[in-house]
Amino acid sequence: MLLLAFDTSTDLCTVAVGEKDVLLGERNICAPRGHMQKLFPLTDSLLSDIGCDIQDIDAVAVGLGPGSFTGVRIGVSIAKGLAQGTRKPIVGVSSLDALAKPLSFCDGLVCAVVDAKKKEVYSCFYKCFGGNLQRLTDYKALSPEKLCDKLNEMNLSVSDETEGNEKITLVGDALNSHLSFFKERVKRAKFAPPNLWYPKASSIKDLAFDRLENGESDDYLTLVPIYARIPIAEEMWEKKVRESVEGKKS
Amino acid sequence: MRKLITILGIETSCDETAAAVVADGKRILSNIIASQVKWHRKFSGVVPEIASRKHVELISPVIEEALLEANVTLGDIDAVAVTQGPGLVGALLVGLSVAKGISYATKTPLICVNHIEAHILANFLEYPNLKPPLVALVVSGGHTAIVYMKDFGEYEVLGETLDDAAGEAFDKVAKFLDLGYPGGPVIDELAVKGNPQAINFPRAMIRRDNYDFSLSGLKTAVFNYVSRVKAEGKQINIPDICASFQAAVIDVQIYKILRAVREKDVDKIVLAGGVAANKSLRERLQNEATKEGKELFYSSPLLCTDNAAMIACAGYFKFKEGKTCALDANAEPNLSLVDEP
Repeated sequence: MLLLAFDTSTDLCTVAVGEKDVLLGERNICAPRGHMQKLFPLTDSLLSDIGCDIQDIDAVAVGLGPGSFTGVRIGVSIAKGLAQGTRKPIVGVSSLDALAKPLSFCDGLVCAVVDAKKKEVYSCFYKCFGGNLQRLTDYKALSPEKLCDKLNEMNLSVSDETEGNEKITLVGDALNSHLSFFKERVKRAKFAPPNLWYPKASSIKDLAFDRLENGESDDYLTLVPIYARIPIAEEMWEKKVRESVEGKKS
Repeated sequence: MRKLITILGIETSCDETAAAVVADGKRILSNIIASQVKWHRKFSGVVPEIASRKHVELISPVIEEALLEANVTLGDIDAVAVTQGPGLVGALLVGLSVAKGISYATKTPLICVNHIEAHILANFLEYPNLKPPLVALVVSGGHTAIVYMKDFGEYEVLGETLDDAAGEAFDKVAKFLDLGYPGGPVIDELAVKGNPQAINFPRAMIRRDNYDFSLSGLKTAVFNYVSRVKAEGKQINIPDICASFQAAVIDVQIYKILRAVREKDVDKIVLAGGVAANKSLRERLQNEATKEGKELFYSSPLLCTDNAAMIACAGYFKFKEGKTCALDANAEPNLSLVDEP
């Protein structure tokens, strides 16, 4: 079974083709705001270098985010178009899960942290054991300060006996701007090297195969990105409604 | 018999998610429009982030429905045409992404269409014998422009709005008067009961020797008038305000389009875009056109507002000329009619 996988949730435009446990090829290019222009030429050249055609693909996998709203919409919409055009299954997986996936071999806790702009990060916690990735929390947008509190809380819950083993590993592009901040504030944290800070399409592929093996896939008619945030207009509207309700009460 | 050229059109430039199948640029096999108005209503205007999210949710079912209704499969499609701009960038990107995906998967050409050109060409769907040269007034929620169409693919933008688009001005005035959203149809309806000469709102730019419009001053004049009357403790007459505001907008548009028609010496006028559904604008322009011995064309309301049949129609003309798009095509929020990609 041949899978085409890609992710456009961060600055990295990444596409991979492979079978279960076999990566046939991957292309990665740093393309801030350039996914619309880069993804198809990358995909086309990758497919032709591997010597296959879009019609040979058996399923399409895509990173759903959370990440750049525009980025994830481009990825998900392209995947929908490809699925509709090829009549092949579509599989969406979280881009944060894809960040944690390469660390799943080292037992312990992993926290994926992605730049969410507006002085916030998207984050999610995972427990890794024996190559398995278990998601512990929801995908959340929060301030780096709040995330530090959560990280330290998580650390406290880990028993001393497993110290050294159970440290939290942070991974993700939020480390570009927050590495020293987290180093200062979080006790007993480890930091993944920069080459792992962006979700790769090969990880999207691996996670998609996990889902397919469980008999899971998505419907291109209904698949949507993971935003982890409501639009600002909605937020302000809710605030206005809340204030007017409170105003009436007082 | 010659096989018809069948185009799938996709439109997501603002707040309508639309797909259509059109044969030979004139036979509409399907024309599906999912309006997002109910999600934007409480904000009294289009919220770009919400529009983009809704496009992602709606686009695939809308395309599926367009294919089903046209009784075709993607295998029958000769090309995929999509709006490249102008419009909201986040919204445009959704349509372009899906279109590229379908085009790449089915190995059919991708055709990038200019939204304004498509609004003008929508009239060719209803009037297959219509031919350039002509002058078009394109008025919608996002655009207000006078365009000289010399020939197919040959355009000259004679003038544009320098600030608000006509539809935008209607929305803002309707919001201020608490009339609901979208503002165009509400004001159009209320204006029927009012006196268009009741209040003398400014006709901005009417004496200027160009084809540009300015609508933000008129909007402010309405706001100031209402505040003044209220401060005097008097009741405001909503139908009169609507009629007078609408008359001020239409006066300038008619004055300028007629001047363009005379200058370019054409005998055909096309009224296009969502605001072209405004009854008063249609009637008054029709009267003036008849007086001048010119022929006026406008489509049924469904083809005036944003739709994908017009995108498929414009795509057909480009397809015939072999103007297809490369894999690296991007959305162009400020795409102009003149510098064609």
